[in-house]
Amino acid sequence: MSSPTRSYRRMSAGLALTLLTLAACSAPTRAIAPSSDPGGGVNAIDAAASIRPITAIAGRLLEPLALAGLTTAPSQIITLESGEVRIEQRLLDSSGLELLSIQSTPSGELRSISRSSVPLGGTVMSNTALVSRAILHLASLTLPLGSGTPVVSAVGDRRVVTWGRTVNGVAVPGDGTRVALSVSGALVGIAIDEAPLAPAPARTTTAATAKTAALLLVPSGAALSGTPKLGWVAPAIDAGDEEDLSAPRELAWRLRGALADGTPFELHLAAGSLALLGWDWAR
Amino acid sequence: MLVPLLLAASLAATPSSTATVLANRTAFNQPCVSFTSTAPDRLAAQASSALRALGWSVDQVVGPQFNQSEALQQIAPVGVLYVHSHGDHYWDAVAGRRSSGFRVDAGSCSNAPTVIAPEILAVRQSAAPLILAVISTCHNGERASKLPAAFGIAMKKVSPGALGPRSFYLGYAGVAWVRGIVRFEQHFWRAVRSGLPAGAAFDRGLLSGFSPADLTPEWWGNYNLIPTAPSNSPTPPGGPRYV
Repeated sequence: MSSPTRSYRRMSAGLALTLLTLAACSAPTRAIAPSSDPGGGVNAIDAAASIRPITAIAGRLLEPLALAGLTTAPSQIITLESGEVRIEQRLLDSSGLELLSIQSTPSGELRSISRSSVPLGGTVMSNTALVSRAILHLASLTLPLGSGTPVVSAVGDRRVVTWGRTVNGVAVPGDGTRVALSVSGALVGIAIDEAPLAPAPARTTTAATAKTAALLLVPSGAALSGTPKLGWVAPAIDAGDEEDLSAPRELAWRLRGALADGTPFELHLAAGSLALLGWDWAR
Repeated sequence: MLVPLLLAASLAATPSSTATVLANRTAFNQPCVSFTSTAPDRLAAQASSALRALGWSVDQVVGPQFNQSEALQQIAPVGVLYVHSHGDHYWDAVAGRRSSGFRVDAGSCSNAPTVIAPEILAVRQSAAPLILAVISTCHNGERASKLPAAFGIAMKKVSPGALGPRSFYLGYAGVAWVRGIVRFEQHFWRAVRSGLPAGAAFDRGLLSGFSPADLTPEWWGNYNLIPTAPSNSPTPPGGPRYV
């Protein structure tokens, strides 16, 4: 993992601004052909929601898809685990294999782009170059750039550039902008997530108080380590380890430690009441 | 005598249409620890549901019945395996060196018996390679893991569009945190159910919002594998076509 230098970030921002201007001035890409509508009424979803057609997105990619022979599947309304409703569009090849799918909010904001069959390997880009490439991909689709310093992670022959979301300096784990790339910078996917937040407590307890409360909860032999950090976390079902993604994120103290056998864990205590919201741990 | 042996060998080499889903519940719950863990049941249920949708006949064992002998008996003939538990490179007393594997539930809070690669090899000697293995544990996505080989899966990546064996292995390198696992696997199984190849489903998982510091998924095998059961007629990979 690495982060770009300040001068590089400035250059990337300049490049992105140029691209954004170009994108804003260019003529909108036309869809190759309207999709048929065997179910009846499905295309009304697109019309009512004013969402960007998938064929236009396909043409706007830095590596545009050749649309000849591709077909669009009717749009579908899907509901995520969080309860968030999205409109999904898919582009299929001649054998029916999905090559591109996009998800938009009902108000037309693009939230997710996923490409399939992006080649593995190629010339391995540096992390700095990958960040630049991720910015270019976002800009070419006129998507908002993430704020702060991105993190680049290597996962299974792919690279993921992540701009985590923060609210008043406090992280919202899982939220933000993620751009998945091949090692040579080709776009694999983009996800932009922003969960609703519960109201912040009127008064936040101190880190020391949170630590004292946590020590009363942890199993015998467990120890806490490091300094507690604030975060907007998803409360867990039964205050366990399964996030309730349909609930607003709550401001919590995040405390890490290890069980007696060395297994790392993290506790989440409500920042105001110190009630147990959930926990996470390693397998 | 020869006929039954030949028959058994021929049957064993035929890809099986059964899948096994194993999950450790005990070690992750009270009274073993102070907290509740619903993740093992949830992870097992979503794996089972996705596999059934792909035509597999699924045996699911969650909790104390997931013991060493049951695990090996289940693993011996299957075409797909899902395991959620502790995993590591455990000591192989017979060979005098470390091997890779996972702990069973067996109702134990800690130091539950393990199932390691040589034991799996022994029960799958004449079996066809697994079509899909999802090892939802720590450490078994590392290059050092002996599990892929025990399942007959080479630690190579077959690129999109290239020809390769009908196998796919998914695991996690290093320490894997459960919230990250749940997020990743939700996306993975949803994509697989929608007809995407396993490699593309892995790519979808990368967008699931897990913290890269808490989870490092890895895969080997064939990107293009659509993990339908062998008994199922091939499913159009992208679902029905609309022209």
